[in-house]
Amino acid sequence: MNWNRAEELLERYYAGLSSAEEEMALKALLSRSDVPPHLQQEASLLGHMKAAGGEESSLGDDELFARLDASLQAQKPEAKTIQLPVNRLWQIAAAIALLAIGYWFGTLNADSAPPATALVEDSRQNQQLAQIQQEVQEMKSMLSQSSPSQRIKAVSYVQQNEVADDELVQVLIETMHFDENVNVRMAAIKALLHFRDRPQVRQAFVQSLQIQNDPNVQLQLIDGLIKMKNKEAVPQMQEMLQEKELQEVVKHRLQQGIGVLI
Amino acid sequence: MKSSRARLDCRMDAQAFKQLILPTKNRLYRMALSLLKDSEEANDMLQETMLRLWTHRQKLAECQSAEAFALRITRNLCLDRIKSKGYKNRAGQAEMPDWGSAEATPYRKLELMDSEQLMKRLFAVLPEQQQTLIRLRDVEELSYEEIEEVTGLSVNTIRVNLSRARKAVRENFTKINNYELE
Repeated sequence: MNWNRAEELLERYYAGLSSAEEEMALKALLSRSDVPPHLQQEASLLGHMKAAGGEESSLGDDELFARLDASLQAQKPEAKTIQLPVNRLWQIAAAIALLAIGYWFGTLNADSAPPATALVEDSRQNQQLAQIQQEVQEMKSMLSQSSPSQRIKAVSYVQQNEVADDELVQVLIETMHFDENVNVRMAAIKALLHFRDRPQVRQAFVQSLQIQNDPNVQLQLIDGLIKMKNKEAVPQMQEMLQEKELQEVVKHRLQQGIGVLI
Repeated sequence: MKSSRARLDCRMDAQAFKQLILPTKNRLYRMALSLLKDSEEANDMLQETMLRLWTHRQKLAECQSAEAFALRITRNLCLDRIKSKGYKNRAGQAEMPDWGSAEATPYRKLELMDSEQLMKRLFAVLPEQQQTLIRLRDVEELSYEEIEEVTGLSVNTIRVNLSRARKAVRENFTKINNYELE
């Protein structure tokens, strides 16, 4: 038996360089019965070292954890007070339930709400209507006044009122057609131009072209028709061109207008 | 592997914890005993260690080696205990081994001597760090990685100190042998 290997491993062992495998091999070699005398002491030492790992605790398994168990037990009452989360869960559930009930009531109300809001809306509309009717009355009374300046004032007043209703516009149209004062008629034309998108206004302009004799009013009407891009007026305008009494200025403007509108 | 253990640990109950730690009981005991030199103290420390390990059960499961982590906690608790004011160093009181009956030859006595007692005597002269290292490596046969985890030392430091410890133990052992044989 060559013990060189054992000596070599011992050297590495004492240098702290041996690996686990080398130490196992060394211990296996030195535990043989034929260990040479010079290695016997090493063999004895390593044997003792290995054997030393046998000492055991006198504590039983339960005893080992006795203190831990005691502390876990002690924490249990604490765990009871930590039932807060559960309570809180209930609180949250209750809050959600309340919210849901509230929402449900809300929707219930919402179902009955339309009539209520509609009522409010109706009354508001009624109010507006009454207001407008009052305005119309006022305007009619103003327009029936003898003073043209008063009537012009009335007409231009409508112009500020963007939400004028059909009746009001109708009053204006009548004024445009038939007011005895040129200036009032012209003011009415100007006012009506604000409602140029309404079909009744566009129609009224064409009609008025037939009615009006004053060149100023005619000119303003033609300008209005051009502004509102009223193509329906073209036949009427062409017809008008045939009139012998028509002033040159008006004729010229008519031709211009027809050119633009076609 | 690591993550699955960590997940297991998230819900680690006392039962799972005990099952994980129980196999290390005697190794922890020997570590405590080697440092405190008193079995009662060691057992007390062991119970304390269980409490501490339970508090750190999250880390325990994340470690490569639960045993190494448990050993580290044990060692640290023991060292704290030794350093504490109230602790009387009982090293002096550590009972010397009974050398056996007078009939046996001295060499025979040595052979019969309880290995644990002999090691206690041999290791007693070493600094604490070397004691722990040689115990972990040559008695408990832990891997270098595990010893690193227990002691927090680098492998190189471990090897150097282990070498010193082994040489000192051999020297001591030879002295005892020669003394007993004289």
